[in-house]
Amino acid sequence: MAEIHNYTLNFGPQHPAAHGVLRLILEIDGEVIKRADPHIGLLHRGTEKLAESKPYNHSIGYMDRLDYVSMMCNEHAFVMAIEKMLEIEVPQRAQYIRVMFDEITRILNHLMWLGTHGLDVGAMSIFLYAFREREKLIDCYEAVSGSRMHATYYRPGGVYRDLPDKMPQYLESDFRTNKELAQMNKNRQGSLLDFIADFTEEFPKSIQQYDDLLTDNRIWKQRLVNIGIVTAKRAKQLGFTGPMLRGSGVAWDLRKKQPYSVYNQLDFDIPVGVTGDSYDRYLVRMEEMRQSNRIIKQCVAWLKDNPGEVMSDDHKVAPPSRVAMKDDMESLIHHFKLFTEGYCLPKGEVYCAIEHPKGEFGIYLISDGANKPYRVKIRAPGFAHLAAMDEMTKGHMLSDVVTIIGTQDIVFGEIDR
Amino acid sequence: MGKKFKKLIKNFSLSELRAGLGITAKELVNKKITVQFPEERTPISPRFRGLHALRRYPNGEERCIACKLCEAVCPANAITIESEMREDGTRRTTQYDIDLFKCIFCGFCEESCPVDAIVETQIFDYAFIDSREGSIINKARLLEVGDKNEDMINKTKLEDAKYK
Amino acid sequence: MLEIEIDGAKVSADPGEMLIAVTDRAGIRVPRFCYHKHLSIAANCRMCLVDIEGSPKPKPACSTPIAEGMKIWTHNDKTKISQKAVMEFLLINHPLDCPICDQGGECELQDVAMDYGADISRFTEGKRIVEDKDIGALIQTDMTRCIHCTRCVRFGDEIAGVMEMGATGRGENLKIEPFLAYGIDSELSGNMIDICPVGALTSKPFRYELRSWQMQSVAGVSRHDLVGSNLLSQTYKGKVKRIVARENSDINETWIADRERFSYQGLSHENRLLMPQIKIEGKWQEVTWNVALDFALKGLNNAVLNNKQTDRLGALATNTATLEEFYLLQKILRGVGTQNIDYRLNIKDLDATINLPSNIKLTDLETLDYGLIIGANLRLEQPLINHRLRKAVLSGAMVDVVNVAEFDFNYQPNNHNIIAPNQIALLLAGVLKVVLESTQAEVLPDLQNLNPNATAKQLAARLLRADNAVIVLGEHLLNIPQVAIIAALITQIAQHTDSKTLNTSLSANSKAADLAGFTPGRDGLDANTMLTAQLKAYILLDIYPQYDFYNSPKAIEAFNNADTFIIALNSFKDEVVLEYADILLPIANFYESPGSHVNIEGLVQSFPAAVSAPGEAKPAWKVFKVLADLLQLPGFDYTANQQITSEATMHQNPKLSKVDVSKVDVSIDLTMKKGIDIIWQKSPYAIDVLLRHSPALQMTKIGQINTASMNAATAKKLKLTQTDDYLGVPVVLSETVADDCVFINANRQTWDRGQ
Repeated sequence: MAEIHNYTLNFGPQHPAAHGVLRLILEIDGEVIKRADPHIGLLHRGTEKLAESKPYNHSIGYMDRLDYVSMMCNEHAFVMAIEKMLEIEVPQRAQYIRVMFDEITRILNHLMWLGTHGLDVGAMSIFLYAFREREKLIDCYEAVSGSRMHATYYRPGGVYRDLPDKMPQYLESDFRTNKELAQMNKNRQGSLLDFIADFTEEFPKSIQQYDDLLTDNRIWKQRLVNIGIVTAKRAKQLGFTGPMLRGSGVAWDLRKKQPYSVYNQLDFDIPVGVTGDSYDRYLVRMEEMRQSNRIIKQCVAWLKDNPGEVMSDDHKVAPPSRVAMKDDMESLIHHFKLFTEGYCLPKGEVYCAIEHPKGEFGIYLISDGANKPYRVKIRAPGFAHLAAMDEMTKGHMLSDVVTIIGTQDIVFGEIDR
Repeated sequence: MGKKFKKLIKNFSLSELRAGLGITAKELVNKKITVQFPEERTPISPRFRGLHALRRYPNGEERCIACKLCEAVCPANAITIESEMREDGTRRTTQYDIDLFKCIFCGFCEESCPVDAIVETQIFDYAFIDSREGSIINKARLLEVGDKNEDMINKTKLEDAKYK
Repeated sequence: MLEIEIDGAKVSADPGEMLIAVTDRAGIRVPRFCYHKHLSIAANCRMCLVDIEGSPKPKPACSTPIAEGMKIWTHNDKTKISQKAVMEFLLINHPLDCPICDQGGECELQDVAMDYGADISRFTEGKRIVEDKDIGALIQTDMTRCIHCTRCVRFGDEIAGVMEMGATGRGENLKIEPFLAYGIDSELSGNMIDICPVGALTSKPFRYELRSWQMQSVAGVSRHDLVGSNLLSQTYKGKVKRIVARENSDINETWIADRERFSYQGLSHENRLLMPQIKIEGKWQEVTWNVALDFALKGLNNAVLNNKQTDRLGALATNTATLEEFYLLQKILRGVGTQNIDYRLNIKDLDATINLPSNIKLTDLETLDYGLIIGANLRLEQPLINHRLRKAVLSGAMVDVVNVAEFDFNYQPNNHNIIAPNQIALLLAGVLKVVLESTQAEVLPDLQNLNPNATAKQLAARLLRADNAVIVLGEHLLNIPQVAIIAALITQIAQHTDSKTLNTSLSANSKAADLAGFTPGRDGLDANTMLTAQLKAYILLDIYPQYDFYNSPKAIEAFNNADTFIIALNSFKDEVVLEYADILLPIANFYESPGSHVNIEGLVQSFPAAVSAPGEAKPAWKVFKVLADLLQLPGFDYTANQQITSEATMHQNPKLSKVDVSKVDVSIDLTMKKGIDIIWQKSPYAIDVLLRHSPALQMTKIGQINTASMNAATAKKLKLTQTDDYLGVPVVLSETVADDCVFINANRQTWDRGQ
């Protein structure tokens, strides 16, 4: 009798469902997955190593590019680690701004996930609707930092600039009547906070729409329910964090368990799943968007009532204002030195983690007292999740691999680093 | 029993699929949110970090004094500056190149500049970068961008000045 | 030993030490501007205030001597408040120049302001402005930036020996400015750039070029003189952009002479030789190294090797070559069977050079109690040796000078004995006689009839009285016909008075040439005899005959001989070389090649290459290695410069072993030679090809020295007036020149000295 071998299939790295540059070596028996071996490193840019040769602030921009769909969250972990080492105070307002943008980022991330996950599984329109909302949030990014994705907005000591009190508006064009233009600019009349407040009012309706489209949809359920089940025990063993862990029913959230920034002053809930399958994780993420919306609302309210500084006044770390730099000597010297040499961290090491949209994103920093880190280790949540690929896909069908990649919310920027 | 029955009805009536199609139908007649680029553009923030420009003083003198802070602060080492003493004894650049392939548009150069010489403009659709050489934008071209767009630069920078 | 407590830790210290010296040694950082460990204490910047237990106010660490049981706090609140206040005070008048200031990034004021100052200014009034003065080609001033630490003033006064900078005015009007209209022209002036804590004094040739963080520093050693000053060559994109001093307390402390600091400019001179060239039928062609070396090999074969005339091959080298280059070149020559090797080009009579060893350490010069300088303008020729002697004088030593003209010393010698060149031997013979008589030694027969004059008696007495004496021999002696006698006399004097000797007559890297055996062997010809021996082939290492030889025209004539094959390895293009050479090989100069310098103590200091040579130029040692391989000589399997270094230093040349005084056998013929002696000395900034191509140095006062000095009587004998040229050098009449002597300190002329 002829010997029958399993079929080996190369999945990616040039596959539309591979979420970037994932290369999976799949061993399949018919259509059943026997083994899935993820190959990583195709997007390796040496972020950790590069950081060792640059003053601390230079690496903030590279943090954005790790998980490039949750930019400011990455920055948050990095600047928090530096702040912890320097033991500097961050103004309350800056903390609220950071939390607000962390949650905006969470929505951005989950919308991105929702759209592409839908697309992977076969739902087209959800992708368009998710991106419609994303556009508004990206506009918030741009309004506050000047960049639509890679913000470089958080700095040790606070955030670079206060929120603008004006939103940019659509300009007149031949394609629009004045009435149309007024309609388009309706939510852009006030400040950025007004714009965000308006978004938080509208967003629950959008979520409802996604809900209507997917949650009960039989195809969606057929593709997700009971796919990639991870038990709570196993999830913990595998080092899962974030929605991947909560989907398995473990109520672990750093925002609650190890509150950082001003999360302990905000009111929100942690959703958890029951069975730990892809559908539960979908539900968890949907609920997280609603909770984020709730947090943003609270932040907007606080920020409207509490104007103030957004940057530490310790100019040994935070550059002085431009006006001061141009007419006083001390400020000029500090400006010059901070932009060339940067600041030095005391000798020591620190680990700082935040509840990133994908899980626990941590920065482990060792300083030898110089103006550059001795070592930076980035704890990327996606890495642990991807490592469970084999376990999660074993026994499933080939098409379920796509679902599982989707449910893991893989982004290669952070996995390959 | 009632629950099972309800579920059966729901399943056979394709109610959730109808609801989904309903959304699609509704969006079909809703206003489009897309714009007619390039004639029409989405709003651009005054803080936008696009193509670089070198500015001049109103009297035509270039602002840059070759202090090299931007070169030092550039995380991607995209800026190359050579400097020397100009005939009138002032400190000036002889070369100011930005490699736009290397640039990560973090805006640190603008932040560091003590004389507001290097700025990032709202221009994002620069199609002239078609080659490796074309991506290195030199001093003359940077000044040209600055000269052409001084009004826009001045307006946006003034608007944002109070936050910096 | 006293015990004090600093920040709670016990530290022991010597009585009389200042606090700051103790904290520095203990590695505790105390900020300072005016304090410099090699300068006197001024205590005027007040930055180093520390809290001393029991003292109501903080005190400056730089001027507070320690006492038993002192308790000091360098970082407590009281100190911090004082430091902050001082910093604020220093900055109120400092201009907002950081972006255009060359010191930015390496500025002590910036660093201290960051670490100890406030981060925001409270000063809103106008700042004062100080007018700048042009103080020469080397130092750029921006005196508005000055914080009045007076390091430069004290440096001038205490180290350079000329108080060129001074503080005028009081309070708000206090200014640091040069006292004299001509600015700064000391031979050590560049050190002010290093010690200035702010951007008030910066390097003029380096102005606005680069930031400190853009450059890479490579440790190097200078080869311009016998000291081997340690320095850092700072490079950017493969070019040396700046030279700064590197501390080495045994060699150069923290100072380097201006010619070390600014000679790098020559490296990027347009005259650098970039491609190998060969001359075919009188026309120069640029070729590749392979073609050039084949051509060289063929030429050597045709000229000397094939017809077994290897004794008609000669090698000459400049004295700035590295130890390894000297060693390889002599090894090649000895390998093919000739000993015609020499580097002593600028000497009239090579049979009568001074082979006296130098047997004193540079640091020991400071503890002398008597020094006798003979035939040297030490300050310009060996600035840092002179600096050590100056320190000895300042701490009470006595120095006498026997010279052919009165030179400017930056300390007060006891006696300036200006003596005609032909009288020096007589004077020293007198000294020796007195010494021999006083030590009850046997008086040599040649000296029996001598009547020592008063000067001789005085010098002898001082040499005898001193416990720690040194006799310094200078370059001028080599021009004097009786140099052999002088050497013999000094040997005897040194032996009988138990004095040390310091031989500076051959400068630059000459000690390395001696160590490498780059001198004619028993059967070899020396530099002067080679020129008359009609050799068939030469290998010339970085030689420019119109400057380098004692008898330049004769050298040029010898090289131009039609059937002489000449391989010229040069770092710079030169018309004269183009004329006679058959093949030109471009080689590396300072900082472009690894190598070693041997200083006057015999200390071998190796250094790496800081940059690569421009164009196709290669380090000469590599060229020699390949040439040796082409010649199929054994023993050239080197892969790294260090292998050559260790071989050269292992292989001690017997000639270098200490001269046995008892064997010196020169009949002391004291008959006076009539006639006028010419002491020819290259001007200090023209001694090697790199210096001659360094524009900033050439613009200084020292760089422009170009005079033939003589007294009126000599001028009359030569029928010259003030407006004439003598041997192509402008005549200067000066009564401080000895009789029957023309002292020529010239920059670039060629002179037929073959009278």
